Amino acid sequence: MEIKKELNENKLVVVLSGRLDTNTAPLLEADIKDDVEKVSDIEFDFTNLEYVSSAGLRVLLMYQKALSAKKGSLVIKHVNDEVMSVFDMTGFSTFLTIED
Amino acid sequence: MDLHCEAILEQYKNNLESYQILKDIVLSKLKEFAKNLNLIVNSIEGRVKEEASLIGKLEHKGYKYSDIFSITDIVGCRIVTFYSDQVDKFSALIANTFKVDWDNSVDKRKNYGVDQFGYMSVHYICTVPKSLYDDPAHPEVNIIKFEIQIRSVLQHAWATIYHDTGYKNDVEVPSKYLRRLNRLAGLLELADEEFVEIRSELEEYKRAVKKIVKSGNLNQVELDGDSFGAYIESGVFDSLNSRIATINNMEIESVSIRRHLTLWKVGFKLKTLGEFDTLVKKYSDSAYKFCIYQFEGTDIDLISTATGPFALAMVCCYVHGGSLLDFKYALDLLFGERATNARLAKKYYDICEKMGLKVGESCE
Repeated sequence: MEIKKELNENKLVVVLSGRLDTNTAPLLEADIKDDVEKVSDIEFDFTNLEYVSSAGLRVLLMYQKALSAKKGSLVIKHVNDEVMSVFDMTGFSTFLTIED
Repeated sequence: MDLHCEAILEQYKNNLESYQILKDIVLSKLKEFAKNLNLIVNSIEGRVKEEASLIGKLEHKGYKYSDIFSITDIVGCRIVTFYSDQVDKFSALIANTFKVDWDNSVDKRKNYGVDQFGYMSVHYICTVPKSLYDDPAHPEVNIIKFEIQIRSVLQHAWATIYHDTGYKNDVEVPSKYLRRLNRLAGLLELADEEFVEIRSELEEYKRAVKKIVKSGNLNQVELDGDSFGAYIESGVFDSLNSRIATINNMEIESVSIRRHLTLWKVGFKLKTLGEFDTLVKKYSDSAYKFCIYQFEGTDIDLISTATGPFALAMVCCYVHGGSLLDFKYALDLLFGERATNARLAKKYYDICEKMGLKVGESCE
């Protein structure tokens, strides 16, 4: 998985490519851990993300809760069918903010 | 300004730090009241009168004041509540916490005759007792009188717009417009009372709905946010979600599914909780099988409490003769319009077909 990130004051934009799974979710967590503490909003660009496993869902859930606690926001953009189906079936579509 | 007023202005400048301390103490106490009463209010604000504003006051009627301590609105705080009956709750706490100068405090609500309407607000003139603040470096803080105004948001709207007309009191307002302003005050008083009644009746309704849901007489209950919430809280999807979780030994994250109500009410046109309950009972087994098709063989071991209800929705869509467009409409209602909805509608429709679901029947 490739991680590109850009920090703009209170907002962190993270562009992911590849698979967010058991092997790569810890890498994402380690890569943006310090940045997440500094910001109130995170935007994930999933245009080139092929798949999300439970490990990826857990990382998203953790950030969703952390940002919600400080009245921030987590937005996921450009989700493909495969990933959206995982979000729907697991119920994550019900509470995540997902935009085209 | 004459010498007398200039002396008062000098006293004001010398006490500025104490005014600030006083304002902070009172504001902090008022916010604590709201927290203890568990009340969400429109606003709690405070200010120290600006020097320019004081000069204006002194130029206008400085002769009325013996010294700065006889001016009671240098520090002013205002609570604007959502409901008019909350004003009395704050009043009781203010009377118990601060030393109230009853001779100069006023409850404008009690000033009007049965045929009069106008400015409705409660004004307290108080001081801070030593039990609340005692600092030898700032003894003035216990002497300075301050004002607290309490009013509902509708009373506040009326007062603010009245003030915006530029007139200081009723005598100045042309009678034609005074009548219209007062007529509005009467209307807002009526609206204030109606809001209090609506809130009370809604609270009563929520309690009643919970009781009926517990009793199981679901056909009597209209499907709405309260009944749907009470029904979900009763754990109706617990067994379905637990069963789905066995597919991959999954963990279940608890989430709200209140937004699913739109699908059942608008999409499926259900009227009562009983109708929804019938679908839950009839199609839970099919919903479980729908999840087997989705999860078996995958590494997904995390679901949420929305998983079962979502699968149920897709199954119900199919057995009710839903077309691909209907599936897409269901996804639109559940999650909002998304670019993926049309394609995923096909995917979920195909799963239902593979399951061997028949229109009007549950999957055995």
